[in-house]
Formats: sequence, structure tokens, C-alpha cells
Amino acid sequence: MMIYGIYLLIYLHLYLLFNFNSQELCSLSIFHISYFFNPLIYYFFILVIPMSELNRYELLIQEFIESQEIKNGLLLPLLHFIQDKVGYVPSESVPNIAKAVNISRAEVHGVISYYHFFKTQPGGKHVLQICRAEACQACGSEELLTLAQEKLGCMSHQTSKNGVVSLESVYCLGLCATSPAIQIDERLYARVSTIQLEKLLTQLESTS
Amino acid sequence: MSSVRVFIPRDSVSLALGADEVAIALKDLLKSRSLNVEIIRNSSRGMFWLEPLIEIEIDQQRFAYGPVQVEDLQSLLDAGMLEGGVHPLSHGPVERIPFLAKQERLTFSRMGVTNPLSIADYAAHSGWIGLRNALSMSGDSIVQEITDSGLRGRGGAAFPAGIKWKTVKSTDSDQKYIVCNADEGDSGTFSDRMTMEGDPFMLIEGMTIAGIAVGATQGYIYIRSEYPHAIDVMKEAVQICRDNGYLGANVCQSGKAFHLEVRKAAGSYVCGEETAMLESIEGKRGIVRAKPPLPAIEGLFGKPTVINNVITLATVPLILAKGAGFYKDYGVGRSSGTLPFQLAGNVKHGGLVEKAFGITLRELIFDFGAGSRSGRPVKAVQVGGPLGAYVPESQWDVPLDYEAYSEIGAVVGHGGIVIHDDTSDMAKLARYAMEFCAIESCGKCTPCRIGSTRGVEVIDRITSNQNKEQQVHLLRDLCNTMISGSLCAMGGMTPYPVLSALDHYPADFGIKVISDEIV
Repeated sequence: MMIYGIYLLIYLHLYLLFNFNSQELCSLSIFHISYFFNPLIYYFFILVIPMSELNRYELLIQEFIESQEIKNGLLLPLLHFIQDKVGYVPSESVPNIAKAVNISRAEVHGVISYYHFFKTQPGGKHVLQICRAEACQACGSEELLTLAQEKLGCMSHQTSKNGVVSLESVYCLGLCATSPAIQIDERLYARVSTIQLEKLLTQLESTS
Repeated sequence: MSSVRVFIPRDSVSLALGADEVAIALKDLLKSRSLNVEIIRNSSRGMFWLEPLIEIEIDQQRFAYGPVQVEDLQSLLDAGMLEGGVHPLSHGPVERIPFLAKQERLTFSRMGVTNPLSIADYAAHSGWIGLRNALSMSGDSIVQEITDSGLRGRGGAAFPAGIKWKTVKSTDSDQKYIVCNADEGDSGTFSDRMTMEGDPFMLIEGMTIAGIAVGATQGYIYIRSEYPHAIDVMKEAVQICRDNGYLGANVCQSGKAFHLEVRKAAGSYVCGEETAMLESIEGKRGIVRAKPPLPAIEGLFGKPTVINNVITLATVPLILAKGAGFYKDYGVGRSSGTLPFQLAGNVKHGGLVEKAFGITLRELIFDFGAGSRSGRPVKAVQVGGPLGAYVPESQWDVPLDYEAYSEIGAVVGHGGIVIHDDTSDMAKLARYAMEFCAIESCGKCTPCRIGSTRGVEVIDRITSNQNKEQQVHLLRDLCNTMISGSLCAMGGMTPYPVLSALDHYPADFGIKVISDEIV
């Protein structure tokens, strides 16, 4: 039993090192229900999982700082890096960020909350951005926004109830000569009609 | 057949209109027909109503087909597109399309012609000549050349570039910086994006020349996060230049160093203001700094810094290659050279028009733009971005130059032109200008932070008929405070669209005009 426990310990250690998704870990443990008979397993749930979450940001940040040649003004690039990797900037990462760039946590929070681009919470599965700037308004972007709000049942800067689409108003995507413009995740669309938007939204809902 | 090359653009607009899908489908079709044709991904020429625009190069001449969708490809190939055959979507030789033929493309001469990321293509189309000339000149004579050309900041403020460079050059410091402002947040402007996506080496060359001229060894390009394609292309171009010795510790074996880094912004409009941008690069909140000190003396990290817009820096290689005199010959009065005007909004033929200063709005809207896209009468035209005035029809014949526009209370700015048809409600647009300022204000100065919110409320009271006369008076007073009391152009210019809408379109605010007197 003891040897079995040590094997499990090594296995879980390796698993945690290379795959930080704690949700998967839980399903794995439930799948192997017999593991629960080993008291050692609780050691991981109590200590290793929270530590790994913390270490995760520390390691991420370290990895980033080391990859940079210029060490000046790294806060914004670092926040972008974390958001690219995690999908948002978790509040748990703020102490690590503050330590890495040698400023206070309040200052880091100040920067994150100042910029529209940084998110502090995970968004929907997809992000729909609708441009509301003048050139798009001149060609009907307000109708697109109203349609999206109705279809998704949420306002701008909110996520639809089923968690599929986050709706964002943006101010200029740079496609002003072919307005109105929208962006869904990485893909831009120009000269968008309400019919096309409706089709795109239906597609998003059905594929998710 | 082997001499035939096909060009399909890969800039944001073309991609948004399905250029990738067209390119993939065409490749498959060519394969199924056993045709061996090279497909090159160029950038857009700036005729966006024709995108995706396919160009077929036969014996050095390019034939245009557009706008092409996947379902058109079969019939295009059947009509002999690869031999320049006639089809409802064909437009003949691309350079002879009137929209393009009537332009004076200096800065944008390579746009859509070359493969944006081919350094060989760039060199073959007069690239690097300016840099080589600059490397054989003294810093002072480079600065003199820029001053003589009359080049003024193309980001909107139109400050003479030569004077800015001279200040940085003459300030002693162990470190100086070149910062390129690519935070093109203004609605109706896309020339910076086009430059970065379509001719990135030109911008790098311009920044390197600036660095050599003033003695700066580090440059930053601050690109807005809404331009992921531009960021990718610029990053790749910078890497290519490093690998080929155009950037780094020894630029073109000259012994001079210039390093360049791309910085991604984070969605704050006010970071397009130069001092807020410096704060942002330093890793702080994008709050506007009080001036003085000028950034040219105490800029990035407290060091002397040249801050120029993308187009300003992108024009530098041409001036160094062809001489100040060549560039100065274009334009009128104190507005020398050309400006890439951007036709946007409700316009039939939207796109990029590079013309010398002095052209009129009417020519741009109707000769180039072919009127509104909706086919309805054009009502108002906003020139110079969200902080520019709405120009009514009575002023469409004023020549577009900085001084003439300033006389009528408008701005040329970055050259963005947004067209509205007669369905646009100017009171709504005026309210939006204030609302936008309230969202994007950095919050440092009171007229902008509070004034914008009060502005929205006052306009709401005007449009809902509460004490109208008083409220109009209050709005003018508020605008006056914002113009005189704001720290930067955000609060200082938001009243431009508001007041111009109120002055020229009083009926939209429910104000009756009786014999020239507003009641």
C-alpha cells in the first residue's frame, strides 16, 4: 500500500508539474476512486494544488522576465503575456507581478483597471466586439449593437447567460472605409449587415 | 504561364472581407486545373470597396479583379482571368483605375505593390536609399534636410518635425529615444495601420534615420491592441531587419547602433496623446503629463525623446532619398508635401487617397469617394478624427491645408474623413463626442473628466426641450472651459465636433433658425 502511495505521489507530482488544470485533476481522482483510500492523497489536495496555482504565476512571470532583453517598463508587456496565457489577469497573480516589477500591488491594480484591454475575470467562450465609432455609426453600427444585445440577452461588457459570448463595444477597429466592422475572437468582419451578424451569432451558439 | 503571378492582399480589411478564404479556394482551383501559378500575398492598395482585390501580373502589368468572393472564382478562371480576360469584376490595369491614377503617391508608392515582408522586394522598390544617404551625412545635416522639407507631424498636431528633432539632437544625454506613435485610435483613420501592414520596412527605415540623426539608440513602436495584424507584421519585420543587419548594434556596417522594439498598447484612447503614451510605455497608467518639460527634453524615462506619428516617420526615407526640395514641391503654403487622406464612413468608394495639401473636401468626397454609399445626400463630414469639427457643405471648397482649416475652426488632423448622409442626427453625434470623452478621459484634469459628463447631460436637456435657450448657452460656456482649461487635446478638442454640430446643424438640436439668428 505504501509503495503504491509513493508511485501515486510521484505520478501526481509530475502531473501537477506539467499540467496545472486542477479541474482535470479532480476528475482523474474521482475516476480512480480507490486512490481516496490512500491518506497521502489529501496531502496533495491541501498543499500541492494551491501551491501549484501560486507557483504557476510565479513561474510564468519568471519565464517572461528572463526572455526580455530590456528590463525597463515591462509591466504592460507582462500583463499582456499573462492575459495571453490565462485568458485574463487573475487577481491572485497581482502580488507576483508587483514583486517582479518592483512596484506596489496597488500600482499594479491601478494599471490593470485603467486599461480597457485587461480583463480581471474569465470572459465567455467567444468575444464579440462591435465598433461604435463615428465611421461605423455612419453605416449602422448602433443597429448591430442593439441586435447583439437582444440576441445575447446581455448589455455591452457583459457575457450572455449561457456563457458563450461576451459582448464588447470597441472604438475603432481601423476598418473605417468598410464599416460597420465587428470582430469575433481573432476574426475581423467588415461591411457587416444585421442579417450577417444574426447568422454569425447563430453559428457561435450552435458550435459551442 | 510561368510568368503569371497572382496577388491577393492580406491586410486587415481584405481579411475581414474574406481574402484568406479566396486565396485558399483559388489555390485549390488552380491545382484542380493543373495550373502552376504563384500566389503572392501583398497588401491592399487602399481601394477598399474593391476588396478582396485580386491582381494578375502579366508581363510586368497588373490587372485588377474585385471584389472577389469564393463563388466568383470559377467564372473568373473560365473568363480567362489569368490572361487578363474580361469579366464583370474586371477593372483593367490596376494603375489606371481613376481612384489610383489621380493620386500622388509618395509615401504610399509601394503600398500593395510589394510583398510587405520581403526585404528583397523593399530594396528593389527604392528601399534603404534614404538610410544609406543618412549614414553618409552628419546628424545636423539630416535634421536640416527634414526641416527644409517642411515635414510636419502627421499625427494631427502638425508640429514641424525638424524642430522637434533639433531639440532632441541638441539636448545632451547618455540615452535618447525614438518613439513611434502607432496608437491610431481615431475613427476614420487607417493610414498608420496600412503602413504597418503594407510597408513595415519603410517605418523601420524612417525610425532608424531619426535615431541616427539625433543620436538615439533605442526606438519603440507603440501599436494599439486593436491592430493584431499590424503588430504581427511589425514584429516580424523588425526581426527580419535584425537578421539582415538593418537594426542592431551595427546598422549597415556603419558602427552606429539602433535597436527597435514593438510595444502593444491596451485599449486606452488617450494613450495616443504623446505624454500619456510615454507613461504607458514606462508601464504606468496612461495619464497625460503636464508640459513643460517637453518630451524632446525630458521624455521617455526622463530622457530626450523624439515622438512622431507613423506617417511622419514613414515619410522620412523618401525625403532623405529624393531630397527636401522634391518633397517641398508638393503642397500649398506652410503645408508641404502630401497627406494620405482616408475616406471613411458612409462613402461609396472608401479608401486611401494620398494627395498634396490643397485638395478640397468636395473633390475628395465626390471625385474620389463617388458620394455616399447609401446613395443619399451627404450631410456632414467630420475631418480629423473624433476630435475634429463637422464640416458643412458651405465649407467643402476650402483647400485642405493646416492653416486654411484652422481659420474656419476645423482641423485637418491625421487626414481622416468620415462621411455622414442625411439620416445622421448631429445632436446624437455631438452627444456621442461628449460620451466618448467621458469614457476615455484619463481623469487628470477637471474640464475633461467632469466637463464631458456634464456635456452629455446638457445635450440631453437640449434635445428633450428643457430650458433650451439656457442650456445652449450653458453648453457653449462648458465647451469654452474645456477648450481653454484642458491639459491635452482630448478635453481641449472634444468641443470641436460638439460646437460645429450646434453651429451648422441647429435644427437637429430642435433649434429654429430665423433669418441667421439662432433662437
